[in-house]
Amino acid sequence: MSTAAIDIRHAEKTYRGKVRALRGVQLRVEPGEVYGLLGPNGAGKSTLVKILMTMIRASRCEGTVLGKPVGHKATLARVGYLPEHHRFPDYLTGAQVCSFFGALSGITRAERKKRIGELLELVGMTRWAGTKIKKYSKGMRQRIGLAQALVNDPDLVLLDEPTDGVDPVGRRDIRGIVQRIRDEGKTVFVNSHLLSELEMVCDRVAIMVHGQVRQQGTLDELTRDQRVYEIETDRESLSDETREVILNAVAPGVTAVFDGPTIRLNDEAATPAQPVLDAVRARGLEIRRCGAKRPSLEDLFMSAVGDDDSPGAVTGREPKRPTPQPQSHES
Amino acid sequence: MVLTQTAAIFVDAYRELNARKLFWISVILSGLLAGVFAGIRIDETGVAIFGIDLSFIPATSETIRPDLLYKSLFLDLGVQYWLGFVATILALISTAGIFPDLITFGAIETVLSKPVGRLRLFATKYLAGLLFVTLQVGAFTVAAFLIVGIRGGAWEPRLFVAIPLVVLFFSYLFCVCVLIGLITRSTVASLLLTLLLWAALFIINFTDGILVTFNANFAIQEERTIARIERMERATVVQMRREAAARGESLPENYEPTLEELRAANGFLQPVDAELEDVRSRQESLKPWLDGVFAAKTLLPKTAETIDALKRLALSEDDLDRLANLNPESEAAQIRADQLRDDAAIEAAMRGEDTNENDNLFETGEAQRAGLAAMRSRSLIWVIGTSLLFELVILSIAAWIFCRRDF
Repeated sequence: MSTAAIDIRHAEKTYRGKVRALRGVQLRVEPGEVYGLLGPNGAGKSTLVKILMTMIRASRCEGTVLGKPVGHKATLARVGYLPEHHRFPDYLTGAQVCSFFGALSGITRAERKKRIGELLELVGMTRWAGTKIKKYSKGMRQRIGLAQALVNDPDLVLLDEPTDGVDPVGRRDIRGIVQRIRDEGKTVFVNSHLLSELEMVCDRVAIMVHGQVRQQGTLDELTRDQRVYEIETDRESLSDETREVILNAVAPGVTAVFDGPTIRLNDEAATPAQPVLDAVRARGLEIRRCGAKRPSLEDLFMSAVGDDDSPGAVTGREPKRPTPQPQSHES
Repeated sequence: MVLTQTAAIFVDAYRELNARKLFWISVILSGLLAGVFAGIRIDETGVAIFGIDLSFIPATSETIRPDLLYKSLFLDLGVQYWLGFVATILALISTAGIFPDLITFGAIETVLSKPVGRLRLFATKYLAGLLFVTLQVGAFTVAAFLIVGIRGGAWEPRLFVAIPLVVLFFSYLFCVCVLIGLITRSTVASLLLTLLLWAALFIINFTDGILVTFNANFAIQEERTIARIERMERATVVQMRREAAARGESLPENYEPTLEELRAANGFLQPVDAELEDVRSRQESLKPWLDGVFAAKTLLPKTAETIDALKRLALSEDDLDRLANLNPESEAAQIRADQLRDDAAIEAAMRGEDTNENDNLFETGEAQRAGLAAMRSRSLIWVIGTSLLFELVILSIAAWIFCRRDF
């Protein structure tokens, strides 16, 4: 088993005032993958990232970053970081920002010169390399931020809300850059609210709520139990008689749930759905749409968070239990 | 790697200063002041500036050496008032924001995410903050060195002592500014509170100066009164011998009357004893204040004395004496006081009085000179050593906060 890019256990952080931001986080990021961390405001995502980047001292944390204990400063030479709401010195140009942070990472002048040219090209900022940061738009600052995070050719890149304030074209570009970084064999850790962005680039995700990782895995793993086969009819709701016929047609081991005009089977395969489709047609109903469906990241997120999106970590109160699922009618 | 990182922080500090207009305003003002110094000429006819005679200044090249004039201008005006006051305020305004800006949300994250230890980052940033003053003082001192050399004809490398001393003086204030900046995260608060501390240090130093001068005044008064009593007692013994001889008696050669006998024989002695007691009592009542202020100063940075130390280090004893005698008024006062002391003291001993006793030591300037001498008798180790200790304590607290804080 190769050394994890990030492997942390029992990460806890209690701020002064007894605010518990992290409550024993366990997280493992494999080398070469794009890992997404999502969660509502106050879930503890930024605290976790800041612990990894040595900005915050954990109350308790076991584990490693790139094989070295969390907090090991020298390891940061192999890590790139784009903070959320970053503020670079206004008196510097884009190229100078990259050079300054590259030098802080210990990169020699010659290396910096070579890398910065490539990176500015990568983030599409070559034309504005000599312009002062204060004249940049939010999106341009974000691109420069991304360039400085990559200036030391890191093995691990942590991006905190990388598409924040960036227009759709910029977001597509940043997604492309993230994929390119992954293709180079580097690990990317993305912290974002934008679920659709994460869904498009992440190999694995973790959902964090109230200082704890509620779910963690690939999208396939996380949705395995929630994939369904949906049949949408032309009726607003199905009669009891129709429901009875359909339930009789359902294969053993398969569950059917009625949701207005929709019949939902808990098996995404087409074969178990055939008898149900026949029964629907036999009852004279029109099938508007049918097919396998798996929940989106947003569905997963909402399921994990439930309606409890209040900033529990800020108030320090215990998390609420997830909202109960709608009743189902099983055969 | 360490060198690359340190160099980057210094280059960034220079860029930051370069971006601040105040830095260039200070440089221009320093240049103007150096230009004014260079424009001053002194010869046997008097002093002129840019060819305009300043006849109201009673000095010629015969009363003061040209190089001493330029040195005095550099130390008194250039260092004490420009670098030690105006330029320091400009420097504080320029540098007060260094740490609050560094720890601003959004800025500190990127810096701390790099492989630079917090303590090293703190120390390098602090030293980079001192860069402002170092550049200013360095440029101004080089200019002064050239002016003293070219215009005054004396190449005086000791003037370069100004660079470390002024930077040291600034660092006393800057360390406080850094600590307040780290605690409050506010540039304005750190600047205002530092200026407040500086004002408090000025008041304490001013109070110390007054107390030391009064103490010196009492010491001189005590010394004079004791001498007067001794003269009166000697005169009284002579008088007792005369009276005994008049009565046909003879006092032994080694006769020494008791204090009571002397006071019984000379009614003038008791009031003078009371005066001595009064002076001693005043001096005694001053002592707790003097000790208290001295203790407070020991704990605090000595800004004024550090700047004053420059004169002690940059000028020879001979030059210091020459500068001290430049004031004709004080010179005249000195001569008058000496004459009074010499001529009148004999008569006073004969009459049991002393015409010098009513001299106001403040009017003659003796008290001030004695006070200044007492202040300057304090060792440089005390002046600089205890100030550095203060700075070390403040910086340790600031560094501890910076290294321990969650950002």
